[in-house]
Amino acid sequence: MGMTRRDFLQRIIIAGSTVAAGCLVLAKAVLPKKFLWAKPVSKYPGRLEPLGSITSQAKWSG
Amino acid sequence: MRGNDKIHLVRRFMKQKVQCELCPKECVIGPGQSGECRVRVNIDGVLRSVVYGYPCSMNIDPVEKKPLFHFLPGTQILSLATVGCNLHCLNCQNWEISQANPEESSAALVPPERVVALAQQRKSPSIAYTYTDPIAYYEYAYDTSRLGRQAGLRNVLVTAGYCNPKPWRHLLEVTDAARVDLKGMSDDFYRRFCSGTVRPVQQCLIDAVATGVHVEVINLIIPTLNDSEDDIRRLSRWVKTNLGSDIPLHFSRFFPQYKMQHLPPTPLETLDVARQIALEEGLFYVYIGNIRSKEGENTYCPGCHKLLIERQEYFVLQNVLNNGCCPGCGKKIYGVWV
Repeated sequence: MGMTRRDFLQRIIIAGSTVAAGCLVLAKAVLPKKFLWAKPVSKYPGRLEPLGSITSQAKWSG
Repeated sequence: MRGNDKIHLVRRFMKQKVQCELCPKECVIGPGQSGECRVRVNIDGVLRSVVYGYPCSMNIDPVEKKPLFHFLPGTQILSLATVGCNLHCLNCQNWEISQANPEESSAALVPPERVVALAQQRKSPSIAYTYTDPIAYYEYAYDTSRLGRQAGLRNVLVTAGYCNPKPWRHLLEVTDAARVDLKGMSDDFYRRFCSGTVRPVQQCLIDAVATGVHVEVINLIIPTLNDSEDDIRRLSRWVKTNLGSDIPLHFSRFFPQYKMQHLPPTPLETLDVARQIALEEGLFYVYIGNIRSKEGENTYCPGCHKLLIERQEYFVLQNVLNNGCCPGCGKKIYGVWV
């Protein structure tokens, strides 16, 4: 039994959409998410220590 | 390969990388990794600043130490930094903090509102984001600046200006003054010695001046690398053409530091020659820093050459400005004076 033109087009569209959706999912997984603002963290990864006297000049340049 | 291994591989593949769009490096950061600045980290597919609210240094300095010579002279400025920097200058004077990993450093919890309260308690009229580079701790600097401005304080960025235009302009909205490093005039210089490029820095300077933020430029003169007459002339010309004659330019003395220990300190004569060249090129206010220099530390009126502000190192000995104008000829002097 032959395929009607409508069936043929339907299959093409479904196949095309499936490929496009697959590419989109893949691209979303592979491409990095872009960020301008970074969110804070709740815990500092280093040691927490008091800063000492702030009234004196810094030893750092600038 | 077993089934579990395959699932693990697929999961790893699916774990999202993030891209930081803050600075021109636009680091693509894998899960658990940080960008080049060491402080912006991909945690579970979200970009996080691990230094937000955690300064490693906080001090009250004279504003002249930044150096800022045309911004509230003689005042103290609450200055802070976190670890991390998006550039890696081989001559960095503060490399112990700028090139440190947060995991190996110590810091204190000082949220933005506490910084503002400290500045007010210490009667400091302004806050400086300095020592390392505020671009690396952008969100902390921005939020503190916003609160500071609401409290009537002024905000100062001491930066290499290596930032993308959109976030930079956003930060300028809450900034009163920017002291920006212009380290050299070529991409080659920036690539070899700082791991950056010059164009974004120049654009940041142009944007800062255009938005009305008070700007001062500093250039560290390193023997044999950027100390030729041509280097100095090109830089001075660029400042005059693109920023204006009014913008103060500081030539700073190099000292052997970090990964650049093989070069000698900059001779005073080189700095004097640089100052002369910049003045010849038409800049009005040219200073010499990191070394004692009588003329190179003072501000003179570009109209009548009267001594307006006499300085010694970081201290103002006399300031005869009258409402920001020369008392001799009445010329308005570029700066923020009150």
